[in-house]
Amino acid sequence: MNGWDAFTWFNAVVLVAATCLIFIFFLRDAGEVLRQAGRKKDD
Amino acid sequence: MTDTLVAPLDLAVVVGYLMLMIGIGVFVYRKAPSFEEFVVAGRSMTTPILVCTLASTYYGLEDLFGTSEFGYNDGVVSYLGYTIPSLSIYVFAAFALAKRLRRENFISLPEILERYYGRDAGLLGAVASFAYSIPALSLFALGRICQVTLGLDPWIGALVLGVIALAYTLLGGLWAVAITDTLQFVLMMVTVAVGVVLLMNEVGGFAAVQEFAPETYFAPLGGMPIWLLIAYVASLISVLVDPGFYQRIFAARSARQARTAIFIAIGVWLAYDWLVTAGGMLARAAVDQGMLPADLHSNDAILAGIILALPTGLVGVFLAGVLATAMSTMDSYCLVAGVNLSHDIYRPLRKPDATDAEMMRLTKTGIVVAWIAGFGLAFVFDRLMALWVFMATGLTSVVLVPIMFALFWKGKRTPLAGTLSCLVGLVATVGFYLAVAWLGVENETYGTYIWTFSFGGESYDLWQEYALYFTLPLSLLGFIVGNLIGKDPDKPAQEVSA
Repeated sequence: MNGWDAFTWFNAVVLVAATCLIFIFFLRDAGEVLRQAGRKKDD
Repeated sequence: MTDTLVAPLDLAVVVGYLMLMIGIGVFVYRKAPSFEEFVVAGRSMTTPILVCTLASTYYGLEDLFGTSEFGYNDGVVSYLGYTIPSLSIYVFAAFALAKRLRRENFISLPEILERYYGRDAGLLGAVASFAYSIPALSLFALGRICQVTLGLDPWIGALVLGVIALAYTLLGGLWAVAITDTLQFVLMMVTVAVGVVLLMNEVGGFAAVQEFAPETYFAPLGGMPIWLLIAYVASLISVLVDPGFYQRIFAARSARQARTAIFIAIGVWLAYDWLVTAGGMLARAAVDQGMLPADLHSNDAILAGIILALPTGLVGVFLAGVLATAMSTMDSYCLVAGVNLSHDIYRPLRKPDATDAEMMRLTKTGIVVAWIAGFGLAFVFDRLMALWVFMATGLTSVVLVPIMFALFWKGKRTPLAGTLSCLVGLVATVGFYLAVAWLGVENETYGTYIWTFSFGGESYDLWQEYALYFTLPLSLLGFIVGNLIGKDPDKPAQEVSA
C-alpha cells in the first residue's frame, strides 16, 4: 500500500473513532445539557 | 435549473436533516432561554459539547472547500505547509487564553476592549467583529453546494438553506447552535472520513495521483512563494481574536474544560484537514482519469469527487454533512454578530440599562441584519480563500494588539492606546487593500491583487495577503503613541459595568 494511502486510512479511522467517543460522552451529558437549556422555564 | 447529482433518496435524507435542525431550535425556544443563556449558554458547557461546537464552528466550508481547493491545486503543501503550522496557534490559545478569558465572565470579545479601554475602543472592536461575523462565505458556499448537487441557482439554495439556519438560531440561541453543532460535527467528520476513503479506492489510491500530478505536488512547500504561505498561516493568527472561539470559551463551565476541549479539537482538526487535502488531490486524479469533467472548478473538487465515490443514500448523508459544515459556522457567527449589535453597539451607545427582553429582541434583530448583509455580499466575491483572508486580516488588525495588551500586559494601558490601536488597524487594512488594488494588477491564479515595484534595482511583489505585515506593526505603533500621550485612569477595569 502506498504510504499516502496508509496515512489517509489512519486519519479516517482516527477521526471516526474520535467522533464516536466524543458523541458517546456528549450523550452522557445530554440530559444535563437539555435540562440546562430549559432551566429558565422550569425556574 | 441544471442536472442534479443526487437521487430522491438522498434528497429525503437531506430534508430529514434540515427538519431535525429546525426541531432542535423549536425545542430550545419553548424553554424560553434568558439573554445570558441565549448568548453564552448559561456558561455551563461541558468538554464534549465544547469540542463539537468548536470543531464544527471553526471549520466551515471555507475549510472544506478552501483546503481541498488548495490540495487540488498545490498538493500536500495544503497540509504540511499550512494546516500543521497554523494549528500551533491553537495550542497557544489553549494554554494562554482559556484560563484568562473564562476568569472574567465576559459576554463578547468587544466587551474586553470596552472594559479595559472604554466605549470608543469597544465600539471599534464591535464593528470589526460584526463585519468579520457576517456570514457571506457560508451563504456563498451553501449556494454553490446547491448549484453543484441539486442544479439550483446559487442564490435560491443560499436563501432556502440560509433561512433554515437563521430560523433555529433565532429560536434557540447558543444552546440550539451548540446542540445542532454536535449533530453537525458527527455528520461532518464521519461523512468526510468515509467519503475520502471511498474516493481513494475509486481512483486507484495515491499511486494514481502520483502518476498524473506535477512534480511539486508532493513537495512540502509545493512550489508556492514562501511569503504567501507565511501570510496564509499568519492570517490564522485571527483565531487569537476570533469572536466565535471566544464565545465558546465564555460558555465553558470552567477554564479547564475549555482547554481540554481545544486540545481534543486540535487532534480532530489534524485528521480532518488531511482527509480534506487528500480529497482535493484525489479529485484531481479523478479529473485526469476522465471520471470527473475536465472543466471542474477547483472549489467543487471534493464535493464532486466524493459524490462520485459514494452510493445512493450515502450521498444524501454526505450532502447533509456538507450542509452541516456551512450551517454550523453560519449560525454561530450570526449569533456573534447579533450580540455585537445589541450588547456591544446599542447598549453602550444608547441604553446601558437595557432590560433582558430588550437585549434579546435586539440580538435577534442583529442576527437578521448580519444574515441579510451576508446574503448581499455572498455573490460579490468568487474566491473563498481571498475573501476569508481579507475578513480575518481586518479583524486581526483592529483588535489583536489591544486585546493582547488587555489580557497579558500588567503595565500602563490608557483608553487612548486602545482606541488608537483599533483605529489605526482599521484604516491601515482598508488603505492597504485599496492601495494594492489601485496600484497592482489582478492575478487570476491566486484571485488577488499584486503590486510589482522596483526598489534599489530589484523588483518586488506586494500581495494583498501581505497586509498583516504592515497593519499589525502600525496598530502596535498606535497603541504605543496612545499610551504615551493618553491619560492613565487609576482602575480602567472598573469604568464599565459587566
